Amino acid sequence: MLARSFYRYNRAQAWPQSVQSRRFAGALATPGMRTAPRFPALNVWTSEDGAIASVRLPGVNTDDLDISIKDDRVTIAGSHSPENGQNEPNYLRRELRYGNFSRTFQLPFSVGADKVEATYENGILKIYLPQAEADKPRKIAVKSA
Amino acid sequence: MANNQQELQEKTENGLTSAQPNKLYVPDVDVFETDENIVILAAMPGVSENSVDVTLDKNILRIDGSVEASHFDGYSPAYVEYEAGHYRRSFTLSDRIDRDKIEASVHNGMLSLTLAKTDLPQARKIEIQAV
Repeated sequence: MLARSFYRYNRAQAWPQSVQSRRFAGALATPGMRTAPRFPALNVWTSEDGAIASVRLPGVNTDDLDISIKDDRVTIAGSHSPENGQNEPNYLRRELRYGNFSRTFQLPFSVGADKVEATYENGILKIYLPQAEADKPRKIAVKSA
Repeated sequence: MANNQQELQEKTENGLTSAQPNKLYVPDVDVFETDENIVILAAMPGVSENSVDVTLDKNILRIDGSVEASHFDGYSPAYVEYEAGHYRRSFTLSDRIDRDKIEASVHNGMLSLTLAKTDLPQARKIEIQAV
């Protein structure tokens, strides 16, 4: 059990050096872990053409969301304010987190920033991150002398 | 007993638990009180107004939300922090909630429940009849 949680701890430390194959890293979000879950929670899919990032961000205004890209680094920042319509409501229970957040992750390729698209639906932010054309492998034709 | 345990272990090892399509999450909530209402805000990312159910059984108010797992053609998961799962949470209502005045709405993955408060039922005096 100790070995298992230590393994999780190490995995959490390894991020965000690069996106690697960690299908079962979802265990990071389970209770009993040794590191705090990062907010917002993030999933990344990759293909030959690029990546799709899916971020869990319930109840955020799109105006308060900021996505910035520099080469292979993607940063999602924003703020989340309560929608209670009152300044100081009488709280009986508070479990939701509000305030500013920022998260940066690194992809194994440079992103074509001008072709990035993002959608926000049902509290999930999806960012389409195509690989930059200049970053794609090129085929060199070998000429026979 | 031992048999049951063995069976359970076998089922787990055979991956029967994964036959359940999704995880079940307890959504985080804020509950606050205004002059007229008690409001429950539940974070259920991925849930739309068509995939959420609110049921009231006696004094138990239950919220259920279902989420479809994402799939993108040609893409494979590279880094997974959260898994698609259903949401479920129950609340016990007091006598001060008007059972007929419960409103629910979903916006940006947040479920909002507005429960109207009502006066406590008045104590009633029962007449004793002389026989």
